[in-house]
Amino acid sequence: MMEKMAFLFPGQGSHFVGMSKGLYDQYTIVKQTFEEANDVLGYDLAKLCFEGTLAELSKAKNSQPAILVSSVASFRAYMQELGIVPQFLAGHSLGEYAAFTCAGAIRFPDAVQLLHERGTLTDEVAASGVGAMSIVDGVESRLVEQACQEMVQEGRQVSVSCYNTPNQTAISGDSDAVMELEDRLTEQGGLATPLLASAPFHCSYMQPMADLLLEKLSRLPYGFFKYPVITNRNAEPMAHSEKVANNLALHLTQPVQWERTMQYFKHKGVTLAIEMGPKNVLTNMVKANVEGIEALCYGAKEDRKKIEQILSAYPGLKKHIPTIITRSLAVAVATPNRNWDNEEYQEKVVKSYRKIQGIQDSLEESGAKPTLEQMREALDLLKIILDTKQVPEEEQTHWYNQIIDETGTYYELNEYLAPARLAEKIS
Amino acid sequence: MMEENKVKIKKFLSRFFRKHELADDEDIFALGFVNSLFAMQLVMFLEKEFAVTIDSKDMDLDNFRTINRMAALIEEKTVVDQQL
Repeated sequence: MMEKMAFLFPGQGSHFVGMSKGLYDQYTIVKQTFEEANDVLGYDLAKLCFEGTLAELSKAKNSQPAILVSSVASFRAYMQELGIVPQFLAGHSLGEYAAFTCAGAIRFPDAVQLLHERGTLTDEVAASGVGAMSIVDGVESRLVEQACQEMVQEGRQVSVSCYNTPNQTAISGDSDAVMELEDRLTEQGGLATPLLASAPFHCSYMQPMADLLLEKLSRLPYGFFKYPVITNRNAEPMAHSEKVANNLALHLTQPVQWERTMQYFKHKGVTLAIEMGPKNVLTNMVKANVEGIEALCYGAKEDRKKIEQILSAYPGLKKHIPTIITRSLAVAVATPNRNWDNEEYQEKVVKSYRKIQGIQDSLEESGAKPTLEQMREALDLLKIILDTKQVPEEEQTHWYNQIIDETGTYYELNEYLAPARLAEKIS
Repeated sequence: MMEENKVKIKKFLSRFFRKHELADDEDIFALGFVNSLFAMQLVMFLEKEFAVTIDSKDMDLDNFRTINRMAALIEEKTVVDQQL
């Protein structure tokens, strides 16, 4: 029976000095992904990830983009090497940004810049000393919830901010209230680990930052979803581009429903969860939540071998990975025509389509992969088709981004990610 | 210097070991406190507070078992740094 897969993306605390170094040395696409992030940020994030210091890397303005870049790089390496697609994506807390990015909803450079800015805001909140956050192990989540309610009734502000497993939660709120609740839960046999340099994520204390973040989020373009993302807020699938900005602003003030997310996967028959991040953080959480889902981390060498082994049982699936040529043909057909000049349509759309089909026929005959030249030719012909069909510029951008994303050709064909430049080039 | 450092370390640890007066030679790991979130924050605190770099070769639990051991590690690191 075919595995049903979910990809998981870790959140804060999953960084360490040396993160992603193994993948970076092994795969060109990982190196290119880090280099693009360096260009976006204007400083050497890769060096910080590999050499530290830990204190510098741990600043949220660095760790947030670092975790995103590691996760996306890991995902891209996987897609290139194994390429069997997941049914669902989900990211824990900060990891939701990587989930949206890998789903195709947020462009990678936008996500890098956004998380640097989000991290900078986070550092400011943390430095201001407004609120605190702690992890609580060993007390059932409903009891933690109950203890929070008692505190709230006493006029104190503290709430459950992450439902990680039946016996691990995070609490966030007013600093004194968090400490008081830690003491009460310790008396019930719990173990509290305060996150000293952290902002009080996923509670109402983050509302001012959520307002600032929403402004930034509202300015970004959002693409089509290739895979649904199970969101932290309600543990339900989301695949609507227009909902992403609002969701990520609300995400800052609402608890992470990870326990319910794992149950959703179980209910949907997921058998394999692959963590796309620098180290095993979420795999143990999978096991603590549900039985029957194997959890492995693609960023960890030993796990990577196991994943390769498991998926090698399905050699047929990899062949269905789209190429630029097959995707161009599909998009040429899928876009609605708005041009009723039949002659022009025949001359440009039909002829261009036949030329792309010709490339595909010759490739199928020889069994070869398309060359870079053939890919460019197909994309240029597609541009003629979309222009003739009068597909709006914005929609064309979406399609090109999606084709590049699905085929993992970000760096070979990056000129096609900016259609204005492309139009200039062709004309 | 060494005593001063111990006080700083103790103050940091008191946020984690609330309602428990830690002795300088008390084994903190024996108190059932060895999760990675704590370990990472401890290393970060030591690096930042004492301006030292703790390498992977120093990442031996024994170096962090007691306040005394941590203070000794900091002293050793500081001396090496000054020689460079």
